[in-house]
Amino acid sequence: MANPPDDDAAMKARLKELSGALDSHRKAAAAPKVAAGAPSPNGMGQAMSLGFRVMSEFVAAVVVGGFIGWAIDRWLGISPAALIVFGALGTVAGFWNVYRIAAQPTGPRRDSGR
Amino acid sequence: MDPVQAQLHMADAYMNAAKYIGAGLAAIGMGAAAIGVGTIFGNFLSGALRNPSAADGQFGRAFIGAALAEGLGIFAFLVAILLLFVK
Amino acid sequence: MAEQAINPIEQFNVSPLFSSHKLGHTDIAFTNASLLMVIILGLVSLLMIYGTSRRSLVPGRLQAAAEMSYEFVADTVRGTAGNEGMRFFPFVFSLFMFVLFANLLGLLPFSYTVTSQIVVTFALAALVMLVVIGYGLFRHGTHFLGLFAPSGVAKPILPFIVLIEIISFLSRPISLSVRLFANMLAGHITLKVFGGFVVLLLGSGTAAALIAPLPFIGIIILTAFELLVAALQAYVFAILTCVYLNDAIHPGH
Repeated sequence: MANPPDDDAAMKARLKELSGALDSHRKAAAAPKVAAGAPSPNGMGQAMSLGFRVMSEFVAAVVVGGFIGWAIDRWLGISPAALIVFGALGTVAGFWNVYRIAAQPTGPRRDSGR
Repeated sequence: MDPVQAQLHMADAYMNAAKYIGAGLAAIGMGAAAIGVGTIFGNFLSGALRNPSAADGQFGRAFIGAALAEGLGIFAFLVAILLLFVK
Repeated sequence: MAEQAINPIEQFNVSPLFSSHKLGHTDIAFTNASLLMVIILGLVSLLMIYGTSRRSLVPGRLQAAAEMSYEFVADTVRGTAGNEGMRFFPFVFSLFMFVLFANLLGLLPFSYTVTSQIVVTFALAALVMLVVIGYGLFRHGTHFLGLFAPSGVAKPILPFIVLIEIISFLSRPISLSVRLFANMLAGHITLKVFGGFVVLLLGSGTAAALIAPLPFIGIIILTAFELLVAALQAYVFAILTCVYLNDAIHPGH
């Protein structure tokens, strides 16, 4: 009875072809969403969350640097010296934080049709 | 009120007045930050019009730039608050 | 009289519901903030327990909501902190749901926004940092401190880099808590100030009453924006918790 094996083979072939068509269809459906020009809603949410994070990391780093400097000043009594040094360090830490957040490459067309 | 106390009172009033003027001037810093954010988004939009396909990817970076400008504006706000409320 | 009625800050003061009891020196009163926290706890557990009770293949609305929030946070954790981060999934999930429900419930009139108190947000942020430091030390011992000395840095400027890393590490709980606190506080103050505009305009003569609907439309737009900010802040809080946990799991990026 040779036909059951080639039936299976035919079935498997059709299955593969069907899933191939399904995949290409899904990709096609996803593609226009990205090229629609207007930033997709989660694009806006994504960007705003990036913005909130950047602003607070930067401000917090400078404030923490300044506070440490001010605290050391009061403790050691050297009037503005530590404040200036730690304020500068805080600013550098702030830019370092922002660089670390912004360094992930948000490419021109992030594959969002995953 | 004897003269010495009056003088102290006067000095106090001057200091308070100076603080309020300082806080007012610090508020101008917030305005400058707003101009910064305006230019960032303005340039982003003009760039996006020229090359709409690349607009999506750089949308996040536009917000990062705007957030940094706002962050510096927050410092002006911080100075104003410090002037007003810290003895 | 008008000033007394329209005070945008008045919405934030915490008032004990029943008579305040003293435990030694600390005042353990059941305030409107704690009432809101209990409501939030109830709602979240209700959603999750009842939502996942029927487990039907075709999910009902509640089950869809429960599954969706689970999937959303699980994707964030897996995406940011990797599979080993999933060990912290319950922690991150409860944080996310608490902050999300606190923000959303805060928008209802006559309710109270728990996350508009710095002490609440700082407690959450401190909790996150304690977990990060605890797990980092538990898992990597003193090697965890390698986090402050990233590899491949020239010797002479290493002390500066270490100082900068320490400052940026210390700034994390501050930025986590102040971001949530400031966004919620500013949003609600703006809403109440616009509300005050409407009342003042209506109160001062017919000419002014004509333009009263303008700030009212402003409130509608601002409430929509507040809804976005509320959900966004919860998401940002959750994803940053995952980022910091990721630092604890593999220090020395």
